[in-house]
Amino acid sequence: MKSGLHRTLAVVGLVAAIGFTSACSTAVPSGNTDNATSAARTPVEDLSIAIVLSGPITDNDFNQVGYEAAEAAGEEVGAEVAYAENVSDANAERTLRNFASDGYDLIIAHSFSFGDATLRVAAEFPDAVFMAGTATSNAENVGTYDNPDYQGAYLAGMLAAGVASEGTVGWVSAIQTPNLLANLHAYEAGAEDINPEITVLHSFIGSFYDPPRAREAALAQIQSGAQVLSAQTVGTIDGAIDGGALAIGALTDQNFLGPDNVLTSVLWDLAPVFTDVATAVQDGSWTNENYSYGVAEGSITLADFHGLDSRVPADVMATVLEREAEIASGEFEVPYDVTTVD
Amino acid sequence: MDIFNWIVSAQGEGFFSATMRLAVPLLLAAVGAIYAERSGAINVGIEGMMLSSALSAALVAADTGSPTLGLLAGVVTGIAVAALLAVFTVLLPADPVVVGIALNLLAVGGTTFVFRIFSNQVGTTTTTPGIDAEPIPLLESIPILGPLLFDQSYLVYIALIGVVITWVVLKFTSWGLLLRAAGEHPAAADSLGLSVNRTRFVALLVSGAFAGLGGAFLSLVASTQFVENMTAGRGYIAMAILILGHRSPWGVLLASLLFGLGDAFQLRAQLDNTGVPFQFLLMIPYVLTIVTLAVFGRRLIDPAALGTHFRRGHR
Repeated sequence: MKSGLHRTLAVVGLVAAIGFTSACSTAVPSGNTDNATSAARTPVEDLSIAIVLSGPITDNDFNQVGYEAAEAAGEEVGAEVAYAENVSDANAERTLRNFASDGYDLIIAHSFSFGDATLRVAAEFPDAVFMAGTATSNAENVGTYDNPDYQGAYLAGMLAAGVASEGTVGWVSAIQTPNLLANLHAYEAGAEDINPEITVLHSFIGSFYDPPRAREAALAQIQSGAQVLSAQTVGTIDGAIDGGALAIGALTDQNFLGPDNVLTSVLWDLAPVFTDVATAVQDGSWTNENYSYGVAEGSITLADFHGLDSRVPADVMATVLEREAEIASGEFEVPYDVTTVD
Repeated sequence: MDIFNWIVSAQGEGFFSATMRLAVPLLLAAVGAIYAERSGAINVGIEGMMLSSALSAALVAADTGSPTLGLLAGVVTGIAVAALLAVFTVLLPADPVVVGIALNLLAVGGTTFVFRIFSNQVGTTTTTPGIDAEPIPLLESIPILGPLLFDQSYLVYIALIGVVITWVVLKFTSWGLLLRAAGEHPAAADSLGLSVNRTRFVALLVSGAFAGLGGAFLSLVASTQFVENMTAGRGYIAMAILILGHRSPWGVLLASLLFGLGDAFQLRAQLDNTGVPFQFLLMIPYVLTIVTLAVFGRRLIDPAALGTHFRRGHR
């Protein structure tokens, strides 16, 4: 009987471990919150910033972008910055409350699933300002920001379709979140902008950090004819290198992961939003709106091509740059679509 | 003839070689666990051993430029973590499941900590010189077996040789007999003057060495970098593979290939517009494992003394 008990315990351990890996996977439906204005706030003299992250600050991805932006904003406005990483949804409220009771003035909940926790804690600490990645509503002291990287994904789709001479491109990601779905649909729309006949393959590997499986997903796409892959999860670029395909990195410049294969990356720079928010908190002008910084604000850009722009036909490159300028000026609006896919 | 055409097409070959690549880390870890469990010692720490080894293999390979040294570092790390488990569960009477899970949690935090020290600063991921596949001329063009066996990295051969060696050791050597005696009837083995605890200790170290190879495979072959918590539960899946394979080397080989096949299949099924939600496709390898276990697992008998602590002169 003893080994039966052990087996049960082992299963419990397994479930716990799976819980760990998928902790940051639940997502609150996206949607911009009302731009309700809040009353003028008292200026903060000795500003301190805290950021709560759902994953590791070394992921070359979402969490690293948030962490580095918070550090940059702190440096810019002269504020102390603290962070907590790998915070699961269940721990978000406790972690936010810790920072609030320690007297942090600006607390950033950097996940698309910390909205409810942020709203609950914010109600208890009216003097602190909270910024959530997404929330179902905002409050007197809760503002939101989003990641309009779908605008960049549109450009990535154009580039991919322009380079893929055989007419198939791919997209590899972790799980379905509103943010990633918006990215996928914009990537598809961008690809069709260049080549209406394009086939866009997509894969989900089921967890955020599983490079071996992402690599296999990439290889499967390449074997199905994909010539350019959008790398939305770590490991995709490994697969592109192996299969001799090109990849487009996401969020940070990932060229160093494959100098001959990473065409460019869609960069997301959160520093402008965080800096503006921090400054506004300092001078008391902060309001609880949704801060959306995209291509127009210079927050979403294409990274350096590191010499691989020679792979992109000149007319395609010209169209992409033209479209980028149109998005920035507001002349062209990238479709925002978060419909789930199979 | 459609199927035959598919088998020899680029897609078919990719499918079979992916099957093996997805199976091998599980195969290595599960084959090692055969030694532990047949000797009566439960190794719940596989996940932690694999993760620690994935890190040390990546760091050493990146630092020395030699993937082979990285592989050795992975094996040594696996053995070291296993020694820790063995001290607590074989020499001291600690509960093997509790210690194993503690080691797994320690490995998650420990590898993150060490990785950040050695990667100098946030954002510099260490890319490792990987171990590439080396196709064997002629043999690689055999349908199915070619991509499955002869277009792989040498770690795959190590894994397959490990299966054969394990079979020989368990079946034909006196140490294999002692191992099984320690798992079935430790008191009887002890009464013949054989050391039950030394056997279990060594069996756990062997298990650690294999888990280390599996971990190194993840950061040197299956990808060329270390990412925090990159094992993603494979150590636990290896435990399921072990049970599914009835703790026999050939059974474990089949079970891990079944899992790899399911995983390789679902990654490809996602690309066809089947209309099946991707979440269900992702479940395929796991469901396949559970269903097979339910159908073929009825005759499974655990080693009689599995998970018990042995103390001479005590019952």
